[in-house]
Amino acid sequence: MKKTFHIIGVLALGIVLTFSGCSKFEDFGSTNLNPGATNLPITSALLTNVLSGVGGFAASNTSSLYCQYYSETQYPDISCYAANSASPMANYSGMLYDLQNIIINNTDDATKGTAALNGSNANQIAVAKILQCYIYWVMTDRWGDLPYTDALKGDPNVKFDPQETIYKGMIKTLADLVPTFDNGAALVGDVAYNGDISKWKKLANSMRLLMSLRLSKVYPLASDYAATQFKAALADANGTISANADNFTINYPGGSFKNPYFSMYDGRKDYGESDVMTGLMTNLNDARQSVFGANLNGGASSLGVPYGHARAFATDWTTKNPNYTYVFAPNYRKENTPLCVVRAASVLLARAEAADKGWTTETTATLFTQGVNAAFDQWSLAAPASSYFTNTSVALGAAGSNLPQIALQQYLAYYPDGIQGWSNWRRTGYPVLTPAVDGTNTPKVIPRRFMYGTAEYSLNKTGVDEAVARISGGDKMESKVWWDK
Amino acid sequence: MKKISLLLAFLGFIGLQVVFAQTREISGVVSSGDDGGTVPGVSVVVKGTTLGTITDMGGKFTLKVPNNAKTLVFSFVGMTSVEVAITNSSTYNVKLETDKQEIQEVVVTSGYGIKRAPKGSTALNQVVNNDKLTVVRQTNVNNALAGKVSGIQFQGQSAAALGRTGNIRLRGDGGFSTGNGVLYVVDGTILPNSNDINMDDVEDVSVLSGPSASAILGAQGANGAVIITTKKGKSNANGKATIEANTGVMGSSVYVLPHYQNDYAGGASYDMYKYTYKATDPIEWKPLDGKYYHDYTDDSSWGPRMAGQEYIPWYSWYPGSKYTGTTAKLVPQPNNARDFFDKGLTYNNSIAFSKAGEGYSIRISLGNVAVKGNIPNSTLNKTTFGLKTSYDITRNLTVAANVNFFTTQTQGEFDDGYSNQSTGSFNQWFHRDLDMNIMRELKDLRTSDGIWASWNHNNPTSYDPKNTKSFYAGNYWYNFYKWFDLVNIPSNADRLFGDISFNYKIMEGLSAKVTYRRQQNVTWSESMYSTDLNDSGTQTTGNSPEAKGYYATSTSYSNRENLETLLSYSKTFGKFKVNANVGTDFFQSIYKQNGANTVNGFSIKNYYTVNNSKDPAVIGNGRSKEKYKAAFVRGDAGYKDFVFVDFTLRNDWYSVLPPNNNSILSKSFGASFVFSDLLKIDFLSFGKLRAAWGEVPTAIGVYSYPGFAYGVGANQWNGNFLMSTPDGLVDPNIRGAVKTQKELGLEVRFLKNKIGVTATYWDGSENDIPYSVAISNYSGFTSKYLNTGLITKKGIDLALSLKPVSLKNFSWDFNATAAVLIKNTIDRIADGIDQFTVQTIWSRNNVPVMVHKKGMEWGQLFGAGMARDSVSGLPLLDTSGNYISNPNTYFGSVLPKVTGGVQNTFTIMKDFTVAVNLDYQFGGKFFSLSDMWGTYSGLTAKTSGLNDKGNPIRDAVADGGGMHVYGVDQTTRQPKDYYVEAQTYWHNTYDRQYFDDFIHDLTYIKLRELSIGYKIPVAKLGWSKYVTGLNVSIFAQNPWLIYSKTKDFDPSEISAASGESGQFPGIRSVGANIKINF
Repeated sequence: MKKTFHIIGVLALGIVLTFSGCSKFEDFGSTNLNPGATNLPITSALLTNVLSGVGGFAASNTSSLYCQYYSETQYPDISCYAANSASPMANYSGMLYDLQNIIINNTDDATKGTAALNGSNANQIAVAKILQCYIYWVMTDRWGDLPYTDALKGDPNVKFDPQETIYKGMIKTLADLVPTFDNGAALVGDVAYNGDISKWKKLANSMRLLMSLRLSKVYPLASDYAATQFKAALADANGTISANADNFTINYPGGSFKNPYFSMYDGRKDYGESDVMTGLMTNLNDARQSVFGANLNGGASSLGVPYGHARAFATDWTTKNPNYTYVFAPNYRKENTPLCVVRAASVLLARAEAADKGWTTETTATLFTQGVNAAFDQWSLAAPASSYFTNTSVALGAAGSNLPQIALQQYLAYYPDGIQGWSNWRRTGYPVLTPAVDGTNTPKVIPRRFMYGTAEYSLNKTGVDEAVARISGGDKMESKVWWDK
Repeated sequence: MKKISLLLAFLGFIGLQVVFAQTREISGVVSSGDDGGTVPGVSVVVKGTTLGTITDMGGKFTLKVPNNAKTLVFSFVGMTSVEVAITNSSTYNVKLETDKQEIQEVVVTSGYGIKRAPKGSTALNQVVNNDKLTVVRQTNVNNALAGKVSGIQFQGQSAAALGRTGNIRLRGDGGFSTGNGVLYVVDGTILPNSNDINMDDVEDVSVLSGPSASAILGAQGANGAVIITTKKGKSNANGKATIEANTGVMGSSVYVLPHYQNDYAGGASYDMYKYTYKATDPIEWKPLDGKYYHDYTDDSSWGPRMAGQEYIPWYSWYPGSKYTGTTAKLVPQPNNARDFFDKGLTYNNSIAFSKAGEGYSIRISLGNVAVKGNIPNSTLNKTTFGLKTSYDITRNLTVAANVNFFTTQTQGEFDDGYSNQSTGSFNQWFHRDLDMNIMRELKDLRTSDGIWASWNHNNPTSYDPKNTKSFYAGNYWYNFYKWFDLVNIPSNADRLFGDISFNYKIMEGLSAKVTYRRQQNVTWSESMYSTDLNDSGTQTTGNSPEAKGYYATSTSYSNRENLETLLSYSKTFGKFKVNANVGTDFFQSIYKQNGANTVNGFSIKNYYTVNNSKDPAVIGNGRSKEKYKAAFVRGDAGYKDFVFVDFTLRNDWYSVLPPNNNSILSKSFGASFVFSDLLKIDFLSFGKLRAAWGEVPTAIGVYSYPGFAYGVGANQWNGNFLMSTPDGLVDPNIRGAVKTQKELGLEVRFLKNKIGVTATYWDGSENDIPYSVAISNYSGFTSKYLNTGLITKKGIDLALSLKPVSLKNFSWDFNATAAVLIKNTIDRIADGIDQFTVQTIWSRNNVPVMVHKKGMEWGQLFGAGMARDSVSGLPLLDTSGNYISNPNTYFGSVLPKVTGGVQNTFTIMKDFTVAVNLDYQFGGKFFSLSDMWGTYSGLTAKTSGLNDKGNPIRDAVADGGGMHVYGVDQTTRQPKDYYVEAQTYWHNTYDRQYFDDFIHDLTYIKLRELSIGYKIPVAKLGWSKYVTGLNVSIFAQNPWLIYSKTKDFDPSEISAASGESGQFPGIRSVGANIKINF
């Protein structure tokens, strides 16, 4: 008996030794391999991911409130110019780096073979660069100086580039990439142009053209940098976007990926079309109002929400005017409504403006009419009757004097893309906008840029301080970006 | 391999044979004179020799004594020693009485069931026994410990959130997150939280405050540990089985709520609107023609003064109630928020059967806690089963098993975040004029279109006969009672844990034990939100997308297993007593989880399945596996029972660490010196100095290394799948932090133990903290996970025990604890990073956040506040009388400086016991989002009242009203003052960003437990035949928040580390309990 239990005792010790002897203490085999993740990116999936989010820039509430496309109905703070320190940083680690990762995977010898299963390496790189340019473009228009040259390289303490460097860098990138497209395999995951390379080339040229025009305040002359680049983009054999069929459009499938304007009223009603906007539309008797706004029940409405009033006024007004105009008629903000990011009308109207400025020798009036018609056509509306063009705020005058008319049409064509609407207003000063009556900023002027976020100051202080030192007026909403002079 | 050879050598050493003189065998049972139960662990020694043994689980001992032995000495901590002459008899049954003089000291339990007499301990080891824990029968160990252990801060949670247990901080806090939790160990098994412990099964709780005490637990014990030992089986004095039944009932109600204004009704407009009947309006509105209503749409209370005037209440517009088409008087409803909550009811029943005898002990317990909560439709039901048993297969081999099973069902929505459907309305967005009794009465009121009536419907100007929803549906809110009817959130957890062990006594003083341990948990939960919510709301789904109709389900399985071996050696060499242990612990954890939820509502109304999702459902699963292997050795030695030293060495190998660097070594050393044994001073009953040092490295989370893994998006875009690049970089050399603590302690007791003081000074650091350091995203990444940073802290833990009165019929026991956190400083974060945010209560407008900042204490509140003149300290003003915002204003630390408690026990006429337990903390701040929005919305008391002109602040400035604002002009720096409209003033706090008014203090003194117990003298009454003990008590939990700087919240239960975003109210409970022993 006693023996048996000695054996059990020894067995107990044996377990210690078995565990220590059979497997080394430090060896755990594959225990730490995460079964729920992979270490290899698929470039087509990265591209689709970026395209699923890029439309968000064309639906930016803050910019649309600054340029008075919308009003706030119940909690007016942005439209009363509350300090807004949103940071652009998330776009760098998000979409911009996903695009950079596409470029890296299509460049690196170790991965480019696998990456080529999703389209030719050259085409993937070119498309990724176009999309990066678009994102940098909308960001620099908001904040001004930003990291550009040294960004996305793993270095967190990166220097901020002056906006001039960014603009010239983007324009050069776009110019350089157009010829690099090859006739290789079509892009997989291209939910914007479905792999149609010719349209991507037109987009690149159009963006180069629009970016050049945005520099018109700093380079006004036909011999200056802006005009030169504008003409070069226009002259490129691959062409620019001149018909709505070539628009850079995000075709939301609905369901898991919805048009952001659908979400605007999906449970909330924080915004309405502004009375500034409805006033302009009513003045022009503009048929686009049937698209641009409708009341709660979808009925025609031109009762814009008064712009820039404090909360007490806003809630009282909406209570008394429940029929006010919502942004977009319901049919134009369905979950699968396409969202236009770069449009033919803006390119045509840019060409009209360039012609009027004498940058090009094209015919202002023709392009102007084409631009306005394209803007209507974008919403599947018939071209306006000729009487529309005789309206005093539409009818063109002497060559070189037509900026107010052209800029107004640009403003209407961009609706409700506030990033473009606000930038174009800052550049041209048209239409003339009045600051919010209950603005809380000092001085009470319409904001002209976004302030840097608090994260910039805590994570890259040297970089942001350097950039701020270059801004006359400091890191304020009222300061101007470089091209805004 | 080197380590294994060492181990073998050690085994060989202790395996040496010991030779005995001519002996005979004696045996016996030791029982307690108090309750007759057998007493295990009693030291039985032949006087004048080192020969001895310890009684077993059943209180039994057998001892070989030399034929010339004269006397046996029986001794046990807390009991009077007994000497018994050795006669010819071979049986010695002895009764030990509790030593009334001796302070009640209980054996300290550390990891792996290793016990130690407190006399020799070198670190602060606090033990709270069952008596103290169950002054009021708590259902959770955290609540039961509050205030009773020094160095502990209990961050409680409102009792309205059923099943939420709060959090314990030991000696300040650490890490770069919102705090480290402590480890809970029940009979050697680690539990993830304090939920699944049947408090009626608990014998005692040892609190190991830091690395020097908990090194044996390795990485897991680095933040300190709460070691819970459950009761063993024992028989009564007659050797018969014992039964203990415990039944309690407790009622609870809302206690602490914010202070509201009771002057102004709901809406954004001070003026009432006149209703004019139109032909297209519903016919039942005709009687309301010409009457006035206040704005219903806006969910704030900047409405008309409540002066008893006639008005149209919200419910009059709905057809089908007795109030339809009627008006009412607009009068204050000061108790409407309080009235909303239900009275809670808790039943707590348990029964335990216990027996021990020759070579066995067994205890079986059953328990049930059933709670009806204060939130409507909320319940919790927990049933527990416990089995603890041991059995001697032979004299040398004992098999023991612990089995614990907990099954818990909860029901209800316990959202206490921003804009939740109870406090999120009452304290943030609400109409102060609402009569909650009518709200309850009309909860089933519904229009013919199926819209549930809401107090927050739209104004009648928006009535459209083609779209009645635009008027009748709630704008932001529902009838609160209806919401809780239409939301159904059941969940279930089945936890099984325990162990089976074989203990083999190789020879006297040497035993080997093998334990297999398992802790598994299977859970499921569902959330069901009715589509009726969508049909009855206009903007409500913006606050809660679930209100479109929602179903979510999730299940999880977790399983943690340990295989442990432990060799225990104990021997006396002359004047030296040596105890040593060598052990190994092999651990594996598996976790699996599946979950799915509907998106954007249902295809078919109120049909709760994942497949009924309108948009593609979100489906996800997770799984993980991790292991560690550990080997440890510990030992202690005592010289003449007054000088002691001890050490622990433990090495862990972790699967989660980089394979080439996955070994971490924990160690502790200590010494203590009982100087009272040398000094022999009359009034000094006991005096001891001790010092200890410990260092414990920690591990990292599963799959954190190597990291940088790509996932695939749940949904596809027309057949294209989506992927995003990971944003976090991981240092390939990542490893865990190293926590070090040293402490110096003094324990003295005077006047026959009537006064006792324990003071411990501790000083610790946490180095190389693995932290995901935020990097500027311009790099392309958001963070880098690396070892960085240093936190140093020190403090003093104090405990005082007094017996101020000790008379025959009245005695008073007084115990107090205090912990002073001298410092808890962030010395270093990372290169280039001096500050980062760890908790955000509200992400916009620079609302205060919790940050860690280099050179400051752990956990600081920073955010927008009033900019102040550097000379005068007065706020800066613009020319309209608005304050200027300073976005980086410092508001204080989230850590209290001093925490502790006081326990008083009065024993009256021997059989009555009154216990009065308080706890307190001083210092520390939190941010209240409820206060911020409640003020913005005109709900809080500060938005009403009179200004210094004696006029209502809500009156127009032109009429002498408004808030008086004074400060200095921001440019001229000259003193200025203005009157600003109240609504503008309180909107500006958010819009113009200064949140100084919403920072509150964590300081409080609270009467947490109050109990009056009566021990019915069953012997005197002649009931002994039937019962051996009968205790009746009435008690209260949280009866009185004696002092707090904030009047609006209970600071002892703030829901998040840095504040609250929609806090549930404080709850007060009273109850009664009967305990019967058979």
